[in-house]
Amino acid sequence: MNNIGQEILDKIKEQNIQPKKRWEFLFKDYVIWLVFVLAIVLGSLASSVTIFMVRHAAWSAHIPNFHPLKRLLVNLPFFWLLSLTLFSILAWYDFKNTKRGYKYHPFVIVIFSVVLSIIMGAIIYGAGVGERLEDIFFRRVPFYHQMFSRGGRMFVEPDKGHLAGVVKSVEANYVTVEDFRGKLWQINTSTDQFYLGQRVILFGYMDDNNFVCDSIMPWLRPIGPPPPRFLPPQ
Amino acid sequence: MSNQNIADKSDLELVQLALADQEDFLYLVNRYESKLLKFIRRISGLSLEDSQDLLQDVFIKVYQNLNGFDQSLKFSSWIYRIARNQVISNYRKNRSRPQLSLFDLDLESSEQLASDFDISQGIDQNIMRQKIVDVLRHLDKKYQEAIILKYLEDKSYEEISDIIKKPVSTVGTLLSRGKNAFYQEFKKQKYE
Repeated sequence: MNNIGQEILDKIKEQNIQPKKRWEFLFKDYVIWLVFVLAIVLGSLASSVTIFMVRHAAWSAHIPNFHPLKRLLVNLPFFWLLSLTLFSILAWYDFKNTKRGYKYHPFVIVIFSVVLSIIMGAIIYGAGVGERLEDIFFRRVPFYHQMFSRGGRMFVEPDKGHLAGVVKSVEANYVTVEDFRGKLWQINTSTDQFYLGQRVILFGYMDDNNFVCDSIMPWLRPIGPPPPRFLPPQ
Repeated sequence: MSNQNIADKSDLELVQLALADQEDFLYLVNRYESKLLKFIRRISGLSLEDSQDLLQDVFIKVYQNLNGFDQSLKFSSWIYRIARNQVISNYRKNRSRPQLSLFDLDLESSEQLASDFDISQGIDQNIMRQKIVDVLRHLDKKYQEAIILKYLEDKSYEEISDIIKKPVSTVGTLLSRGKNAFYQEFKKQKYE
């Protein structure tokens, strides 16, 4: 028993064991906190898009015989809700690995990170970032585009008087819309509120092979004017 | 340095001495070796030789991580945490479930625990000691560990929280459920 101390010291000398440097511990701490901040920021972005999509979706669009559950499935931003959940889990997992993270109950940490993400998300949404981010994802991220289009197909029922798609061109008296099943429709309407790439829902009826449009509305009501680059040339 | 000088120094001062001079790490080892050896034997149930080997590994880890000692903790909590982690990692490596060791429940501790749990009832001390060990052995590992830290190692809730890295409220729950489980097992064994 008395020799243990000396044995340990001998082993330390023999194997030339050195204390790890202080900066290594500090670096590890900083990385953990950086990942936490990143998870909260990304969660906030997901939350800002969720707020935008929930608040600006075409909930009010009157579509006869369209089951409320179907409407919910089409309009709920599952991808962004899932992202918010995953980033909150990452924030929780990371936070519990901080020096004092174990002091807090996991439930408290999860609630804290979700609430923080929602508050920050609301602020970011107010600045219009949620809208821009969603738009960028729809235009640039193929799997997101496909996922949204798949949901959009549920709206494409011209025989029942409604369809949905993306504005492909904006002319003086009409817009061309490609529905989510890939068919092009020319819609006579005043065009000042539409822009290229915008997702729209159309209401009307079929006459022969033409869709006569009674009204047209944006799927996601924009917060402000569209970015100038999406406006048709004057 | 005289023994009195060393005894007067705080753990943090000894850490700083060890960081400045390798030889001074011996002071920390001397201060904690018997406490940690007892703790390791209690939670691992390893033989004395194996426990001593494990203790060596613990102190090597402590030495390597001296710069990472979180000064918001008590040093004893930090070193107990390392010891506990080493026991768990040893258990994972060898796949042998830690068993509570009778050797390390001395009469004084068993008496204290019997009194804390209010189960003395005039039973012979050796029989009581044996019974307590039997009861503890039947408890879930997490309850066993909480009871050992609280009643045999005399750690506060805060210290246990720092050692096992769980919130203080969870420590309270573990101890309360552990106590209930202890009473139930004690009653069961009483009538066997």
